Amino acid sequence: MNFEFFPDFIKSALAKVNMDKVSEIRLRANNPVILKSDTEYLYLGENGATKNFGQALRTNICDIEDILLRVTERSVYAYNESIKQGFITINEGVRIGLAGECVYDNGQVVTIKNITSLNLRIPHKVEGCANEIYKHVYFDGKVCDTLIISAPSYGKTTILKDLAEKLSKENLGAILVVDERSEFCGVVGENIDIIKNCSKSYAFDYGIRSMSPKVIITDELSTKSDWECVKKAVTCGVNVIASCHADSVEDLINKHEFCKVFSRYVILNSNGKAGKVKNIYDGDFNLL
Amino acid sequence: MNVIFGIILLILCIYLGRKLSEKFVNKRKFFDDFISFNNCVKNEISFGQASLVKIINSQENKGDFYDCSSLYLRENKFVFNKNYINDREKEFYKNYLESVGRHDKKTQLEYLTFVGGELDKMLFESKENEKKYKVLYIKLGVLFGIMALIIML
Repeated sequence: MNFEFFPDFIKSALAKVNMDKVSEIRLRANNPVILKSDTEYLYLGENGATKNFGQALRTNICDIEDILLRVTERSVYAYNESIKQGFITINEGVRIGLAGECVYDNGQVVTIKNITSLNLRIPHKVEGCANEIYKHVYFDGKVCDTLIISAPSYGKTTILKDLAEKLSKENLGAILVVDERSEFCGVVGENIDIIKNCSKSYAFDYGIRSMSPKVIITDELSTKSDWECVKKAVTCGVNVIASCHADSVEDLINKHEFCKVFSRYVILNSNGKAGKVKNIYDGDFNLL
Repeated sequence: MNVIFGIILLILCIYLGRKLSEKFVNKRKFFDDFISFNNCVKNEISFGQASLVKIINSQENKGDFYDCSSLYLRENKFVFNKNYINDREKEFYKNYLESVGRHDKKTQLEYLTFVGGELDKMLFESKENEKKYKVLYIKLGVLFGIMALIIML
């Protein structure tokens, strides 16, 4: 993992940390730098990760601005569309969440300025993390439309990547990955096509027409439009495997945009490792 | 012998005249490159959205503007030791490098359009000076050279 965009004092501290276990790096102006390692939050000190608040390295607003400039190659305008949505994705699939002041024009957010917090989410490939789910998703030569549900940071995207690669090996047809936020970095498979950096409605629409997928895999269904795309794809005979933020089945059903199109609902567990399943339900919410 | 010295002096004077006029040529070229870069960035913001680093690296023209800008974009160091632009113009250039790329699309385009207007004025002035002084200095060089040759003879 290349951290050239960090100031030297952070780079040298991170060099002493085992980055295989780190899933998040949080930087806030005038506050300590925090790492998320498995389920634990630690401070970043000069000598690596530490629980000692007094040893924590701090960033100021200039450091945050410098990091942003380096990450965007001094071209914030080139990341306008993703900044509006609150994140920037850089090489290797690292997604940087931004917190700052939203700027509106005609009722729409046009940019975020005065950014004071950054949240770097570092993806890790976990081969085999979808093993437990896979036997419920694909059996008898058929793919079940599946929704993976959990709170943020439970490994939904990691599981989707593993599922994409597993299904690709089955040679059942094209697997289309709709990668709205460029997070599916490193997904490889001879049957995998990836559409990046565009809305789900656009990608589903043109993807189905031009790439004729057997399965579409996508992350984070959130808006009504996202759910409409899935419904349309399923009625076209395309299988869909997706993820969604929710705490439980009840929480999911109560979402106003929810529509019952999936035949498998997978609730993830929160033990810090991707792939740990709490429950799997069928299309009528019967426990399997 | 005197003739040879005279001719050498003539050549020297013409060369000196040319050298003195170079600063007007360099200044005009500097602002030409500046405007060209500014327009390129405006186009990229509107269409391709390439990063500044890619834009600078793709420029075939090399010169003082590109060398200094490239160094600043790579290493955040502003080093411009040429004396053909004055302090106010140097400050304008430095502020430009500090501002370009920092803002969202809309703000950036507005800024670059404003800068374009200022640059047009600076380029116009430098072209006028080049026209006026380049020929003058070369002519003065020839004149002094001929006078030196005559004196030697």
